[in-house]
Amino acid sequence: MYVQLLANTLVGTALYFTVAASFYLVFTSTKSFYLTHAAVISVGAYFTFLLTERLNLSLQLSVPLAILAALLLALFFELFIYRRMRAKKVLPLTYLLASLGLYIIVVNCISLYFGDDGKILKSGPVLVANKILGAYLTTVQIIMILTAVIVFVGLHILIHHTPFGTLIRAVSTNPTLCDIYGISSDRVISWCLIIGSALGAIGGILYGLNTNFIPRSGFDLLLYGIVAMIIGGVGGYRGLVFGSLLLSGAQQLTTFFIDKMWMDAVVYLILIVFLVWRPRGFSGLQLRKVEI
Amino acid sequence: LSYILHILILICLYTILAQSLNLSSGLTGMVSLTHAGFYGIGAYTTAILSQQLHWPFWINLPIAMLICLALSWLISLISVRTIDEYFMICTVGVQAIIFAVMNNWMKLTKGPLGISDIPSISFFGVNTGNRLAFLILSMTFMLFVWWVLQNLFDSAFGKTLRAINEDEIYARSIGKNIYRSKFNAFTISAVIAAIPGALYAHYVSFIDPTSFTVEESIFVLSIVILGGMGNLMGSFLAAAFMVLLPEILRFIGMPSSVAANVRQIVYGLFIVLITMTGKNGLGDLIKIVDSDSVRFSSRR
Repeated sequence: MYVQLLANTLVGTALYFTVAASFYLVFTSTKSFYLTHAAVISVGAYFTFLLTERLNLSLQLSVPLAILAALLLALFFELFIYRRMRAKKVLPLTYLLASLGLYIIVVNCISLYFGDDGKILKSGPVLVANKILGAYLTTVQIIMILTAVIVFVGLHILIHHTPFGTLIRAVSTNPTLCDIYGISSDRVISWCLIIGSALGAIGGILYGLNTNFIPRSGFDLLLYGIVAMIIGGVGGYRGLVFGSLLLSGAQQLTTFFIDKMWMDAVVYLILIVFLVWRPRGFSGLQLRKVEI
Repeated sequence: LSYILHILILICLYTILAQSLNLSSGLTGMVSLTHAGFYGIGAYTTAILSQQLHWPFWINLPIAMLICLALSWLISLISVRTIDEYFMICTVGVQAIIFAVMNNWMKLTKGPLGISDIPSISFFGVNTGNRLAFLILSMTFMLFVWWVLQNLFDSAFGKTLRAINEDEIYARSIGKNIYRSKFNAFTISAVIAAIPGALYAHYVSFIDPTSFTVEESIFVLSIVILGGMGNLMGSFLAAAFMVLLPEILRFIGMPSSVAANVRQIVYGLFIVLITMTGKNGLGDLIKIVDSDSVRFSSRR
């Protein structure tokens, strides 16, 4: 029983880590909460659903297409909305409000077309349970864990061992100085959005393969990702692992010892505790309006 | 006629909600998504008290407001320490917790089944069960709240809040207690949100948690954005517009299942347009209001 609990925690950690990492890439370059990321996650899942169920394409073909659709959507928002706002130098909070508006539009378009009822991605032979060390894991869940490992390693290589990683770190530290040095911060942000959205779409698709989803699932998933990011400390991607682990562990323990329905309450309680006493999560830094 | 009265009552309730949120989110710039939670607490408190203890509305309302006060006091202790986006995520969390309590505490709130048969308000022997009397009641509340908030907005306290919104560091440097001002703005706004909640519960006589979700919070927030941050008249007009919008959509022959989504798409579009152009509300966007300051643009 406890082995199963551990396995479930691991699966949850993997999923939240993938989503948190995708959002982290967006957040670290732009320094604002783009809630359109939730729409990107939903679009990833729904596009796969559209291609496999309605157009009868194979899963192997529809997943890359869905990822492409999701990142095109993110790129569209970036080029036509966020970039113009950035040129106007609007207040940070405005991005949040604008992205909230965009999210509402996209999600309602999805719900207009697909309806509000729960959808599930039929993955065929992938949903067979495998017994590993006494715990039952479906193949999708194993793929989830593998994906998370790949994302972690990939993120490490991307940020620390490629020239582009240096650019990301430069832009996240000081975008204005980057522009002065001739590094186009807009271009770096666009690339971060592309990679982040692709990861987000992958997270959405994996979620859709594992459980059924509704148009709002993207938002819930993104919130979990954000919570994991905040708990883990906004400072770095390594904290995301701890954040996701704590989040997923708390969820599984709540489900096991109390009741599944209090899961969300516990998650947000943890978030609030962290926001008050450790706003920068495990990294221990303090949050200030202006850092001098 | 009864239908028109229903619409007018809804406009009154949403005006109170939006105007109270305007104090904390619009004027002070603390974008909060807990408002539907406070609205729901108002509704649930009065529903439970009037149904199980048969207490009259005039006792329930202050109790509901007190509970909101206590809770918002706790939340602002937490929330005021964080800024901008973190504050908003924090309020989403609080909203989710309040919703979880409403949805899961079966003994007290009956969970997803909701509470039915909430008696209508009667005072001095006058029963406000009919819609005209209820409209007068809610309109009285709306005008009273409007008057109180207008005075608050124009007072020194309101000016401090405006200063905090525009430049927090500067406001602090001239000796304003930012912490306490934010704290007061948030609690006042929460306490006022209990009023429409209590009214709503007695009006529809059936409440369930789905009326008080985070979507509802986003809806109220979008009214504030549409009407203009820190603009009470704007909140009233935007509330009227938002309540009338689904009716207009239905009038042009759209099925109600589609209309719900289209309405959200419409206000999503408005939010994007307003924030993208850096304008303050719909009035500013289409140049009805000549706003002296463009709120969203950076000052430095």
